[in-house]
Amino acid sequence: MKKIRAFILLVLIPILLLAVWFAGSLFFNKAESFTTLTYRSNDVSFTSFPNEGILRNGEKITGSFNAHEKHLGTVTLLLNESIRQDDDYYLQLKIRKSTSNKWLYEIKDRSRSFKEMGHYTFGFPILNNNKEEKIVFEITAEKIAPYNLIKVSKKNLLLNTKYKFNKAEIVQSPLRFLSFVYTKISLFITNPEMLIATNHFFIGFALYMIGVLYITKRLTNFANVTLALIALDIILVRTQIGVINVSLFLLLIASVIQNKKKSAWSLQVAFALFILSAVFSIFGQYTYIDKASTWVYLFLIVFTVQKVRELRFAKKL
Amino acid sequence: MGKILYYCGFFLFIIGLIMYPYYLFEGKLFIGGDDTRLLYVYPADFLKNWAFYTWNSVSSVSFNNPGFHFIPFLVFWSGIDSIIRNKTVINYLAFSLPLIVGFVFMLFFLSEIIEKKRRAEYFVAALMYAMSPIFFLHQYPIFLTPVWLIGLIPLVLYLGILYVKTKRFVYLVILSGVSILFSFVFYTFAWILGFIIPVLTGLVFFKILRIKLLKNENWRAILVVLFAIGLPQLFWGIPFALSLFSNTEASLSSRVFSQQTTDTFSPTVLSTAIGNIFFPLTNLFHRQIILDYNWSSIGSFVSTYQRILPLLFVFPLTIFIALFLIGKNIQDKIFIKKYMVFFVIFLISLYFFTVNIGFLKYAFLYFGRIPGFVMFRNFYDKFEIGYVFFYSVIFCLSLVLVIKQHPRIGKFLLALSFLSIAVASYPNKELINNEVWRSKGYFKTVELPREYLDFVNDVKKIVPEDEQIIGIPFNNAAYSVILDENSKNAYVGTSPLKILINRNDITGDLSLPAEGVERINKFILDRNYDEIKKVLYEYNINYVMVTKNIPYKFGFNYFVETKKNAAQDKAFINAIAKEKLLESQKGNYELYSTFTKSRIFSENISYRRISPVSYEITLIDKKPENVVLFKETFHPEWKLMKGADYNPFAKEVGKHLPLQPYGNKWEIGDEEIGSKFYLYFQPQSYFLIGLIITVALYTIFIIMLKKYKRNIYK
Repeated sequence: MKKIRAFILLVLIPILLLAVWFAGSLFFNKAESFTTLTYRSNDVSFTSFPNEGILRNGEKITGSFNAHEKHLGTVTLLLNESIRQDDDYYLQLKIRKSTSNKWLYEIKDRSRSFKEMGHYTFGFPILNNNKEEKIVFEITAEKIAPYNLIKVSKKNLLLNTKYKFNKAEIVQSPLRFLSFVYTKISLFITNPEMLIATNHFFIGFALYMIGVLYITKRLTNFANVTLALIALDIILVRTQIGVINVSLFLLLIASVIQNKKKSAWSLQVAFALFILSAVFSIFGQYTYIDKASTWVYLFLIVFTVQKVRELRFAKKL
Repeated sequence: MGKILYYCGFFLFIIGLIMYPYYLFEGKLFIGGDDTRLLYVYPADFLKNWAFYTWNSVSSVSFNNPGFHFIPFLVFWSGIDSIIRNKTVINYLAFSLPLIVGFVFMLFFLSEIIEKKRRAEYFVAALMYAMSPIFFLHQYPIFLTPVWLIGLIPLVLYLGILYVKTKRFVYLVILSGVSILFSFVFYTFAWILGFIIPVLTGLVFFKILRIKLLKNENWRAILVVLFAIGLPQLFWGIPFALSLFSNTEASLSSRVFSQQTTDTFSPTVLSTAIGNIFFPLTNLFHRQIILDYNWSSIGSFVSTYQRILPLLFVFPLTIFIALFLIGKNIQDKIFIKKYMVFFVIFLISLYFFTVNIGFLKYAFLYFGRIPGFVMFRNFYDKFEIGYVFFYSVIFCLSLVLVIKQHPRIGKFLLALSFLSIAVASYPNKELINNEVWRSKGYFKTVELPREYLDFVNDVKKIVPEDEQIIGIPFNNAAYSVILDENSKNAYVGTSPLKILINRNDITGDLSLPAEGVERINKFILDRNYDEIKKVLYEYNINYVMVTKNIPYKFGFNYFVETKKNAAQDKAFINAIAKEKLLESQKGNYELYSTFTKSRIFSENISYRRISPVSYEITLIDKKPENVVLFKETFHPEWKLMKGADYNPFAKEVGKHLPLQPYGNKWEIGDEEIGSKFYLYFQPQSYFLIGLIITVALYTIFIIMLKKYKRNIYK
């Protein structure tokens, strides 16, 4: 009986919660519908590329890549710009199959209207291409202000390609369905942006595991449970939520008092979180810095109070 | 040898700071903006035309805005100007001074609070303070009055500490002298509070933990220092305080503490509290504010600071190492206590500078309910100088602590921090000498063209002091745009006419009360020229000054909306201007008279203008209706008294009422033709009262201190 209970608590429920994470991420993902496959890496061979990677007015970037799947519908470009919001310019993408000289789609838009975090996503009616078929593209920018700099890199220019399938095609046979789900999951777990976009489905699993670890006395320390919850707050809760923040801070104070933690502990955590913020900054993950640095500050408050009490100043200045 | 090298380096750096503006501005004047900064270039004119009066106007209708706090500095600076006799040199000296004073006295201050023999550490910390990228991103480019606090805070603290330590009278005298000279800096009390609030909150923290910080005699000495600084400020403080109490539309308080300002506290805080403590900890301004609000420094931030970010980690890293070391094998408990005191104050100032720290943001919003706290709605500005100051102090203390415990690591961190400061100063030129907002290629440093200066001197000969000019294009601010002759640079700021020639021009939306702005803008767009003429008449505007060389690229739609600009065309000028009176040498500026001639007083009055606050008037006709009409913003303390001279005890004549839409009206009853009156703006006399009180109280204070010094400190 004990074994069955342990199996349910330690294996079955965690697997179910992980399944919730996967299912939620695959079927209820606002960033991407279930029938879409997103490929990150794209081997592009360029036929023309600007000098020093600086994109100038009217200059063209041309190249080709092999489609990973059928039904290409979106390409995302990554541009590194030193640009101000009001200095808009036009960006044009043309796309065709290598077998024909006729451009199938020409999409032109003001840069600001479809920019998101330096990514430019061009959507177009689904291409009737074959898997591995060579696709040719041409990128042109216009009306770039003279003091703006738009840099492009051969390595990361074509960031994402998306392929949109229709439902009937996916469910035509169980094998096809499983194969699609397998591809979807493998693409999902290797795509950090997608993992970040769906991390709220992971909260249930994480909270459950903390609870289990505490009950089974693997997390022996109340303060460590608080730490784990704070880590979850930083990684999984993307916005600052006052109630969560206050609750965790009060929990932190309570756990410091209960576990008689010294100031060194608070300082170590603050320092670790600061290093984490530094790492986030190097990798451009600015949303995480907000949360991590908030906790650096709150831990420093706790440290200061602890330290002042520990030092027991007697002599006046 | 080391000492000689240090002093050589020190003096070379000071010379470098003196020369720095020549590199930054390349010989052009660093003027413009809301504060014009013309006071550093034309101090005598500024003094003569503005600082002596409590009733003032600069490119706007007049209001009760005492300028006395500028007098000591302007007198001093006029003296310097008369010696130097070069506008560029004196302008650049004004720019260098806060940096030099900040650097030198930060160094002296640190040597007083820590220990004497730590020259290299103090040098780097003082350098970190004066050359902080935070100041180069936000304070130096705008160079408003609070920038002087960068120099004044360490200077005052250094002198204060010297007095507290030695109780020597001479330090108090110097402190009072500094306090008087820089009265105009003490006027920026919101920024001073931005420095004081973290200190006071820190003291409350230690009080709660029942930790006594100072000996009683030192507290008393601090009190004496505060008196020595505060008492000399009363000469302007009293008229200023009294101006706050007069709750009229024309008072400063009504502008500062208006319902509109109060209502915008929370929305402003919520929309700007978007940074985090990470970037301030690396000695940088809040990245997210720069990005979201599209500051001109955005390029420098992305191209330089973000690239050298790992190098800037040296500052927080040093502090963390020191925190780990504190209390371990350090016997000097006084040092540790000082460290913790400054660390607490540093943490508090970091919070006020950032605000967006989890739930603490909501606490800040709650503080908005405290009367007057609305002045901190742009917290990142008000708490910035205090933050950088305390950050530099805690960094220096940390560096000293690490070097004491681990000399090798400490010296490595010292060298690395020096390198970081040097590398981070790379984009300074781009940050300071930046582009006019959204102007597409026009920079802010300028040489005021001979054409403009000659033209305004001719304007002075034509336009009487008590009549006003309207500037065309009538823009969204109260700005003038004066293009440099030889480059694409431009002066963009509050119109300099008042300072240069003592004539007031109404140039934009911020020049008139809301009612007037609404009407004039509507009539411009509707091309309702008759109504525009009516508005000009009501506001005593008799001249039209047209600037013709503002290129379209110059940020139109932001400077003036495109439609509003298009409506101010030739047809508009022809409709509102009667006769061309003056044209500049190259035809870029023109002056016209208006169709209807307005008067500051009604037609039944003849008058002599003695100053902006006093008029001698004679009744020459009983019509209309035995009234005196006076076209200046309504203020109840304009006092009309009988007689040809000012008599402070004279009774007010007639019933004083506001004149709609603009001006003052006195119903004077059945007065005889030929009766003489004196019109005086009463708050002007408060300056004299303030001056007398200042001298009296300061004298009493000095005598008491001399007499009872021993008893005070026992």
